[in-house]
Amino acid sequence: MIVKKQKKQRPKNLDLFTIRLPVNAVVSIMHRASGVVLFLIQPVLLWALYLSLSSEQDYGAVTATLHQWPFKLLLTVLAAAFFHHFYAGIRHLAMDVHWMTTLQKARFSSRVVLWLVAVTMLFVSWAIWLRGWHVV
Amino acid sequence: MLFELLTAKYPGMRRWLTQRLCALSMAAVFVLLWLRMVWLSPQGYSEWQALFAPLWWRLLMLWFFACMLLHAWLGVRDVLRDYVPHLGIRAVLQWLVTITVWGNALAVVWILFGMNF
Repeated sequence: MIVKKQKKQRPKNLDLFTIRLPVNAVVSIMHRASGVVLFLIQPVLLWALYLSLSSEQDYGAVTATLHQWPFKLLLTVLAAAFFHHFYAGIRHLAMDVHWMTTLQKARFSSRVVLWLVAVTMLFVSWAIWLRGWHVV
Repeated sequence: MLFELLTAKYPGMRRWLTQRLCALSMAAVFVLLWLRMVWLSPQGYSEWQALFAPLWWRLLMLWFFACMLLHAWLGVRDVLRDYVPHLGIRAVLQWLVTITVWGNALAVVWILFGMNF
């Protein structure tokens, strides 16, 4: 009985806006969230790939759509999700084989992941918004 | 010990390893696919189609998508197990996910091998 009472009196904090996640937790939960986003968008992207290969008219329709700004924005966000999932995934794989597992190193590698995503997204945004999808 | 962990006695271990191996090979194949894509930089429909013409390219893409679908299926399965405590709702969602994955797999095979290049 006493144990039960103590359990009930324990302070609870489920107010998400007062919980501040450390950087490694942010990178980890974003890895999960980006994975779910990429899974959900998969059918749409496959459909676009199918259309782009099925006929010249459909190819034209897909490329014209990709040059409209809302779709550019969508693809920029998806690219961010992809590259975050990519770099954070490599970080998780490294931790699976016991690299960078101390707290300090985990924090450092989280920052490296975020910087890599930022730099890659600068390049991707440049290609999409300034070069009109042309990389070279 | 390591090999015992991979026997049918520990299915979770096998799923865990499958997801990671898929991740590794996807990362490697992605870099390859991306490099050829940038190298050729297809302009227009015929060049875009020509990019997909070689059989090795389509087989590599098939391998990439197979890994991606397996990886995603295992990943979403874990997410559902973590965040959907209600077993009935979870079963329905899991069923929807499985159908989506198989639908995507069919689409991939059709795109890569069902159309004329």
